[in-house]
Amino acid sequence: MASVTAAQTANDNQVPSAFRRWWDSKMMKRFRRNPLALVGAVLLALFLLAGFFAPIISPQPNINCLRSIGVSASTVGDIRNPLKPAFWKLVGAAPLAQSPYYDCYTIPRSSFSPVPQSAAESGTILGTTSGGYDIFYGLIWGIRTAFFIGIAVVGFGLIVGIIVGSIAGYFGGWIDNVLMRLIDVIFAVPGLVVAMVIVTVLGQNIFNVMIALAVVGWAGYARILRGDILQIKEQEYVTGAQALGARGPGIIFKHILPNSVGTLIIIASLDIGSVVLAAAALSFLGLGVPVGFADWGQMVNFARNWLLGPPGNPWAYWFVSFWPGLIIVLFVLAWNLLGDAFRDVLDVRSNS
Amino acid sequence: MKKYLLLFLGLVLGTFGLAQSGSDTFVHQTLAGGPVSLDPVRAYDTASGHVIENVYETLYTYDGESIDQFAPALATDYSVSDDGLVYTFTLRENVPFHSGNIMSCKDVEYSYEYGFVNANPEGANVYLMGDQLLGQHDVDGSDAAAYQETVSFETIASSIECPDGPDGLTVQINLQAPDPAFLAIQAYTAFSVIDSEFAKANGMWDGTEETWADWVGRDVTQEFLHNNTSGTGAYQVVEWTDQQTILSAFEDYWGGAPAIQNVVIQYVEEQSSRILALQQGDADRVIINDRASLVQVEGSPGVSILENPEWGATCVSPAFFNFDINLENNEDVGCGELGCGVPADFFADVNVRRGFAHLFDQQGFIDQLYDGQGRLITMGQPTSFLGYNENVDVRTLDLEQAEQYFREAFGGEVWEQGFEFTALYNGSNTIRQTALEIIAENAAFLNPNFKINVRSLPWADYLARTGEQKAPMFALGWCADYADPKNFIDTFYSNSGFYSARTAIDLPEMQERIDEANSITDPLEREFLYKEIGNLHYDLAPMVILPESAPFMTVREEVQGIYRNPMMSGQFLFKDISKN
Amino acid sequence: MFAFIVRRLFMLPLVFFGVTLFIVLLMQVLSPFQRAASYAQTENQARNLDAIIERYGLNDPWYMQYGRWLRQVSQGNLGYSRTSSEPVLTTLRKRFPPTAELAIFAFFPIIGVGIWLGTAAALNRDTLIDQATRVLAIVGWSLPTFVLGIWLLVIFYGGFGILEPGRVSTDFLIEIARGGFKNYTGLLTIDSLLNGRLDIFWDAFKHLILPVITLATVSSAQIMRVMRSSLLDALGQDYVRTARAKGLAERTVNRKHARRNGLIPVITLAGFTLIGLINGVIITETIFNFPGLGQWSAQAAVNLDYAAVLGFAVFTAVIVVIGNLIVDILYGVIDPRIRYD
Repeated sequence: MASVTAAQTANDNQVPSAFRRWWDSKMMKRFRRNPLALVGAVLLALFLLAGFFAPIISPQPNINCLRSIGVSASTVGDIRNPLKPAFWKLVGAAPLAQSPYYDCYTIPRSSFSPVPQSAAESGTILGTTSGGYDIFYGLIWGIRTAFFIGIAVVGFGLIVGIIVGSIAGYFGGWIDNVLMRLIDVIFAVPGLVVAMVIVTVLGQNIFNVMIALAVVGWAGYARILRGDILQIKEQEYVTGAQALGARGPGIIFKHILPNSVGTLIIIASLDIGSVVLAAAALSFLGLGVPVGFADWGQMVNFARNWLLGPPGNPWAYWFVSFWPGLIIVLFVLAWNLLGDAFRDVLDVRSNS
Repeated sequence: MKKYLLLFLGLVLGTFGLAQSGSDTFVHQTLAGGPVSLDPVRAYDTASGHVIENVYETLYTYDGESIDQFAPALATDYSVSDDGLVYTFTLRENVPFHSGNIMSCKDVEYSYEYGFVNANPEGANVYLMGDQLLGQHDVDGSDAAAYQETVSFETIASSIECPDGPDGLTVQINLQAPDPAFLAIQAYTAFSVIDSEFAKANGMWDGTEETWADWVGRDVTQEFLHNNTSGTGAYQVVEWTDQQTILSAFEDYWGGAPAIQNVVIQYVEEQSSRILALQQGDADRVIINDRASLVQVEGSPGVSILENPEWGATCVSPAFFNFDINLENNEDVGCGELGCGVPADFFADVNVRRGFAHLFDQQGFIDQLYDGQGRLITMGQPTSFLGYNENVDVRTLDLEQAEQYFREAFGGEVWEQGFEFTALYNGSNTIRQTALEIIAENAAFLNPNFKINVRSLPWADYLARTGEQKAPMFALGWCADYADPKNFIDTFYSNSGFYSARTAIDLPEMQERIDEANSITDPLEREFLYKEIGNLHYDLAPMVILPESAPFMTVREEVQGIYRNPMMSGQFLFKDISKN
Repeated sequence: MFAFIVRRLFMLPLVFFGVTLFIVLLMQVLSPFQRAASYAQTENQARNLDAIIERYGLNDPWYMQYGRWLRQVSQGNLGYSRTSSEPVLTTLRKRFPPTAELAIFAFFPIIGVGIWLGTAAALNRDTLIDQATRVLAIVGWSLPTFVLGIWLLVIFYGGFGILEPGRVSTDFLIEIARGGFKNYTGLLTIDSLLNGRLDIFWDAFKHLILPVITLATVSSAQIMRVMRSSLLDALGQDYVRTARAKGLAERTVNRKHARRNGLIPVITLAGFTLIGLINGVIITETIFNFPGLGQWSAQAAVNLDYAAVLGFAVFTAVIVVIGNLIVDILYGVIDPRIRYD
């Protein structure tokens, strides 16, 4: 006995660092073993970096934007210089009409020609869409729009969903009944059609697009959380906690939520992709963001009448649909792989 | 079993080749959204007109491609009294309706009266002929009580008579004031001759005074003639949905059975799909949104692009200035004053307007958007209309001139303080959007204090906002109802025309001439007056007129006999064409 | 069970009022002037917006307008759709069969492909097959529908000239419109067989191919994902270990025990997918000019076609409620652990 303990203590002198502990934890081990999860994580990281440092990578913004950040023809180089305030103003530009630098999200046009022009013809990196909008600029700044819309809509949905779901699940009885009926009504509403009506009624800007998508989006989370709460309520460890004296909302937050959060995170991460796709669908129907706004859905929509090339060269305008399409696919893929990875990682009982 | 298998396989393989539409069928693919109604007194849109003009006919119609020469259709002859108040038409004999009934004066009488009895606010009868035949055009079926008070049945009945009796072949139309455009207006589909027996037998108005009150302002889209037709035209309606309209030839047509047996008009939203159909031969003619897209069609085997430098459009698209902007609750005017916004009378200053006119690059617009095929428009009406003045200059991009005018505007304040406002256009109309953005860009280039935002509104919102006089500057348009300058000049420039509610336009020099031209009938005198209005347009710059794109038609080579009449909804009648 | 069904059917009136009230209130955000403007399609027609306001009672308070609509509906009249220029009920009746046909034809490939890929992925977990199928499915799902649709048109219609948009080719269209073709179900494929017309059957079938491929590419990812995860769950269950310990062949374990239980969540999702398809697939129908509910409802929403939007909302509400009910019943039938009381 004694010799074993001695041998053990000899090794115990090496306490692993916090990082090491995290890196070697069961969760991370599984994550690392899953190459697709890594791909998803890396892609997202790249998107985040590209979005954040848009001012450095993107082509020069349009004249209204430059004017609003206080840059003139002579000082235009400031926008790529992290030491100058102009750079940080650009970084902080939010795609909301209230933001002073909102104009920076309007894609600069190299011409007014309705015919798309290739990179060589237009002098841009990836070419221009119908109307002369710079594709590369739209893609880069579109990253911010995508993150913004995705996170805002899903975030809103999560918060509202968790609140409503918690109330319904915890109190039960008639409160639960009423809230569940409300959710049933939301589910019965024809989502895309209502979103279209909302945007038509409220006006075509990014804020209203988000409202239109968020109005219907939260119901799913509420239902799941409430279901989980009902299920867990029955389980032993809650009764155990109650026996120990835990009360009321404390039970929800300490014991129930953490277990449900896993499911919710998985679904939320998948939903970010679908929100971006739904916004793109609205653009297709002519009800998305304003014309010329840096949004991937809008850019794909520009391609709509130009998917067919001249006779004899049907793929002449391939770049108009290809690049925005590719970036949408990569973005949604990244979130999906990450979501799948979360699921695998948080899954307790699967085969190791 | 084997037999069926072979048969099936045969059919399968066979249908792979069945792409082309047969030589007796004509397929036309156009934009989505079908006819609103097939009842002539209710329809006022192009899609409806396209069907109605092939199914029904009027007394006189356009002669080929001409918009001011008229050819006999249901009438063979006409005469006008010396005072210009009485028109007498001689009807054609033995003209059958689709139902088999023979056309006579009673049908013409019924059709005209029905139009005035129903006085549909969404139709065109009262609007177009109210003044001439009823003495007014402001009150219509939307206010049934007021209409019945203002217009008695007596007035309606006496406007059109059958001197030789209901079955006779003479029609007499009595005007309350001479109208030089009368023949042009009666050619419009709203005055098509309906089969009165057919209508009466199927629950429509019975033609008497006793029941006319029931029909004033009635919603005729719920009635029989909405989707049932019996006209004299060369085609009958087989089916009408918002997906397609199918017409088939009327064998007993008075002009002889037409060559094309079946016509299918398909309403297809996706332009790529339409282009592919044309290339595959599944469609014989397609509508293409704009000239720039022609690059996808040019050179396709079997496809012809028809163009003719003499062809002109019958729509005019200006960017309007609002002379008296409604500043209340208005997010498009900035702070409502120079410097940070615009004051209500910003565009009332002629120098501001002239300055703006010199910010728009007319020829550049044509080059970029119309592939170089277009024409500058000198004044607010189609080039082919009476009185169009082609000798007037068109103000175009000239930054020096622009600066000069802006410096003079508002005593120099405009140049010093600058301004900010939002210009509006509708939906996804790229032509209008681009025009406004060109102006905005040049303005910013000229003076960094000139800030113009450009924003699009959905159609309903757009109409409402401009109607409330809130839009400082907006791009809209007008398409011809009938081929007379009155239809445009009054609309754009008059202080009581359609646009005056949106622009508060009031230019006395122009108004004088407008009023005078409306009160005389001599075409030469009128022409002179309208040409003067053209000169005034240059001088006073009340709006910036966008150049028009050269019209074109994209058809299959097999189609013969196509012509282009800009006043027709479909540019030509199906009865006049054939296929190889 | 009966009580459960009845209770769920009580949802119908509730959902009906909830959904329609929501839309009515939404439209009220617009001023009467704006709502009137939606009736005018061209500038010329916008001459007299006041008249339009009068005529359609757009100035009345919202509860009056809603009340009017309810009264209409109680008489079986869903109003008139400006978008299709005919009564809403007629449009619903005309456009439902094509949508249903497309839904049915798309349903089986979607489910089939989804289950197949999901099973392959789960059984070969973490291998290349798993990763490749997952990526492929997600790429299909995230590809914007209309890009895929138009590419397919360019290739098969423009390039090979064998498959075309629409529901049926022009010649048959004319023939059917002329009469002599009996509409038994409204589904062209079935009706043409019942009429003994193999050529029309084949033509209708051909027109379904591209839309179905588009829908399958986009929608099977969801089924695949759920199949994969639920099969993985099932494979991890104790009873599977027991089955393996008993010495049963791997295939039997997978097929008989794991898969059957793995299918349960898939069935619910399949139900929802079908409900979604029946409500109309807007983008696919627009691209392929397929005369279904999606095309019409999208146009109506943009036109603010009051009656049409409300009518369509009522329709979807009914489908969703009844559809959910059926799905839940099936779920209860399949999964013996579920008890409804």
